[in-house]
Amino acid sequence: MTSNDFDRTAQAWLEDGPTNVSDRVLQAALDEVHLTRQRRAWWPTRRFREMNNTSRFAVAAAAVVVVAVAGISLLPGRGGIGGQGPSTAPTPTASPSPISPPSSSPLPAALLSGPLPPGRYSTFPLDRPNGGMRFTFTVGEGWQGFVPIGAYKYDDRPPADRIGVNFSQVNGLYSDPCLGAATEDVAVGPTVDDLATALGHQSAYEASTPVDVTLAGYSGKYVDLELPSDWVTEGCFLWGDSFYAQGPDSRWHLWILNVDGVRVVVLAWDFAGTPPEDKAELQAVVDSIQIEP
Amino acid sequence: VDRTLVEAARSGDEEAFASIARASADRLFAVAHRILRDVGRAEDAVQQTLVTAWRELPELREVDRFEAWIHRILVHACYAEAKRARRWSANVRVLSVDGPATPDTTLSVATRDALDRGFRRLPPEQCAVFVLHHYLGWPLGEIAETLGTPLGTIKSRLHYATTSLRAALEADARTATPTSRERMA
Repeated sequence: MTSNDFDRTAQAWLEDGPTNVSDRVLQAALDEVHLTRQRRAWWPTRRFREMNNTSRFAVAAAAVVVVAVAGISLLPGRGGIGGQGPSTAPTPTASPSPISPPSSSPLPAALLSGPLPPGRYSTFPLDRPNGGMRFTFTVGEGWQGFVPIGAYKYDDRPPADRIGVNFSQVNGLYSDPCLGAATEDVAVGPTVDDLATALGHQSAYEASTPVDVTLAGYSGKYVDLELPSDWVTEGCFLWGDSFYAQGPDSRWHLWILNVDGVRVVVLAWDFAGTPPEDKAELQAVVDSIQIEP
Repeated sequence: VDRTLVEAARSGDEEAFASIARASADRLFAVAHRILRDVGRAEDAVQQTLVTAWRELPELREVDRFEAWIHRILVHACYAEAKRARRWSANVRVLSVDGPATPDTTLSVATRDALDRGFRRLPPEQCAVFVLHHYLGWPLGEIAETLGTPLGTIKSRLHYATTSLRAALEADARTATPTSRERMA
């Protein structure tokens, strides 16, 4: 095949595919735009040109730091599911919540990727056909948004101290957590019980016994997951600077909910070594969740 | 995109931005879908792109660069979607529903499959360059400028993507040949 042949083949292949976005997606974006404040232009056009070299370097260095922090925030933790053993039920904290009160604005802010000022945020994480479902939650200082699926608190802390919360819709499972690039190979039925049961049948990680739970006014099952402590990621597929296979020392806490007939999963994750005050903060974020179907 | 609409949206006119979004969304989606090969994730990338564009629009100093600027946002949204997909799918998979695609009858099913498989193995940075060059027809210099990436890096990404996809096609051809012979025998 000549280069020209290949180029023609590639172009024909790229032409093959959908070209129209659904009205639902466009409307969802515009709804989110309506909730999003524009950033004020703070950078006069000529300012950078007028800086001396020292100032330019300082600004560039600051930009690099911001990018580096954001990059770290997008990295997964070393572990995914693991810890000292699954608990049998969610454990609401009795500690005072370190979370700041919600913003005085009557509307939550749209979740954005990157550092989040303390406040209440809203996101639409679910793919079609349930894209209209909105999750809102409150975070305190030091959290990062990751649109559209959730928020994480990384700070400068070591990986084993990190915490986060995700919202999603689970369609299937992987028998091998290293095989994330392939199609899920464990079929899961459509109900809350189907998923809770399927999680319990996996051998790659330990799952607690599902217990009944209610979150944000919706009932479902609660399950803790953990990988074995001797889990190794060596040999797992690497993507860029990220492991997507999960490692030891972290725990996943799943609220599998039936939201008006749609199964959704609220995932809060932490690590065995996460300080109690951070665990309390994570629980407080979970407690602040509201779901609009 | 109408320059006056961009200027109005930059000044906070939400209706003007809605007009821009309606005019741009299909094209953005088409590009995102080619990069991500998944309707749901492409939709998420478009949605995130539009929200980010609205938020950041006051920072756009050269209105005439709007098209390149929003495509840069889109490409970065695709990177985030690709990484999110691989990280989150380690144990669970987000439901996605592929929309109808119009088959291109000029390519065989085997060729399309080979390209699909090969493309899914590429890093998103290579996918983006390949799509911007072969689908949008952008010169490599324009891609470099739009993405803020050195031209040499863009050339390298296209080279590796092309090499990988050609290898996928050739491997597919090699495996197809014995099958044909077996059938003939």
